[in-house]
Amino acid sequence: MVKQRGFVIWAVLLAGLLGLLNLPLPASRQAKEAVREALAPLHALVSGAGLRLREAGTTLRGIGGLASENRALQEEVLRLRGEMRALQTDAKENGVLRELLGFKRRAGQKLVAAEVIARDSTGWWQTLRLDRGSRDGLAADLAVVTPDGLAGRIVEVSDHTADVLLVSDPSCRVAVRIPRTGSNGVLSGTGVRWNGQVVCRIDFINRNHAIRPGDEVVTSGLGGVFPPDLPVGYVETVETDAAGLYLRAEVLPRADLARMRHAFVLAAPREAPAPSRRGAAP
Amino acid sequence: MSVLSLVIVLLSGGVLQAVLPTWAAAGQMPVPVLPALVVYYALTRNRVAAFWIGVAAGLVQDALGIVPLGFSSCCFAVAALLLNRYREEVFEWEGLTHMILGGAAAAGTTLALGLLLGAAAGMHLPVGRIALKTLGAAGLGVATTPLVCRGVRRLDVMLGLVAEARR
Repeated sequence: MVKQRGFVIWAVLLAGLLGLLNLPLPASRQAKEAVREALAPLHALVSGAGLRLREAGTTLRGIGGLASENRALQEEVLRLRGEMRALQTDAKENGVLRELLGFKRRAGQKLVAAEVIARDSTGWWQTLRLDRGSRDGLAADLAVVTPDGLAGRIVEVSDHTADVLLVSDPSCRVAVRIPRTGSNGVLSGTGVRWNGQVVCRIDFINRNHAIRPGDEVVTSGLGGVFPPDLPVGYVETVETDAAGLYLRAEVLPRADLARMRHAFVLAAPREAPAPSRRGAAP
Repeated sequence: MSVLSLVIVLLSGGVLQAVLPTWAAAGQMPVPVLPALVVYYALTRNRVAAFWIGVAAGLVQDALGIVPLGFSSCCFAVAALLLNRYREEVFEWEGLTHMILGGAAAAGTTLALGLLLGAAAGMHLPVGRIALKTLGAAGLGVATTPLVCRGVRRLDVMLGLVAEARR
């Protein structure tokens, strides 16, 4: 009798577990969102405290070298001012040429700044969590960038958080282009090397294109998820694939994916001002 | 109070696991705080409680990541049952027991989760990657579990739940 009762209890427990595994997607998503929302403030608090501690440590370590750092920064400021003047001249010239050629200026995209508050807790994905969510205008499949280059795309979003699949994850695919040769390919992550270096790979490059190490890689805009011309990284090595039909290149991402603390989400383009009724064509 | 403290401990463990840094040499695996908690509760609670705590810990892990809900629960629940079944087979030095069981639990749940993701979620996982992650999780589990067990036991003592905890 006791054995039978034990059997029934375990059967119920296992049935519960199986039910959990087969939860309908909306229910599963709602449950995950609820837990994420509840824990988001705690995540932000712990992650913020860790950041402050690291910053304090860096400050303490750097006190000795402040004078030389200050000199180096002043030189950098002078150099950057010079570059900025040159770029302003180029931008003016570029604008004039574009007008002459009749190009349309690309719609300005809204950038949402966000802080990284957590990383994947299972270790099987290359993801991180941002402290902004659907209430800030974020949605799935929006591109995430750092000042250096592309970081990934949003895969899941709740009211106040968003999960980003990094380009270093093997399941993240990005249509890319090598501007020097005009070659197109598909970039996917290959994980992280022993030394912590994040590496990606481009497959299906036309073998007649002379790709070489150091070539810049940017998004091609094909596929619609990532806007074109976002910097992605640089080619490190090139080889022919096993079948000998295509080239394959290893790419070092420009963005420091392993240590990024802040990111920008390319939210939906700013809405163009509504055409005035007076000016509208009949 | 026992259930409330358990919920707080599991949620805090989940947050810590997601926030603590990872190392490339350990396969980018997170510090296995939740598996360590599963070890502690499997050694100090009865079989049914250990099972449910395993399920709950898995739910927290899945909810905080992009893993489908329930995958980690399965792995943690089975680990909890196995640990609970063999909890009498311990070393004289408790720390060594926690280290070995923690390493085994972290490695076992990592391997099982990887295989589940490969089989059910269609994730392509090369053998080398699985091996590196499993070994990394084992190493981190060995280092983490004694600390986590000691911390949670202190909490149990503070809350007067020591009667429930096996010393």
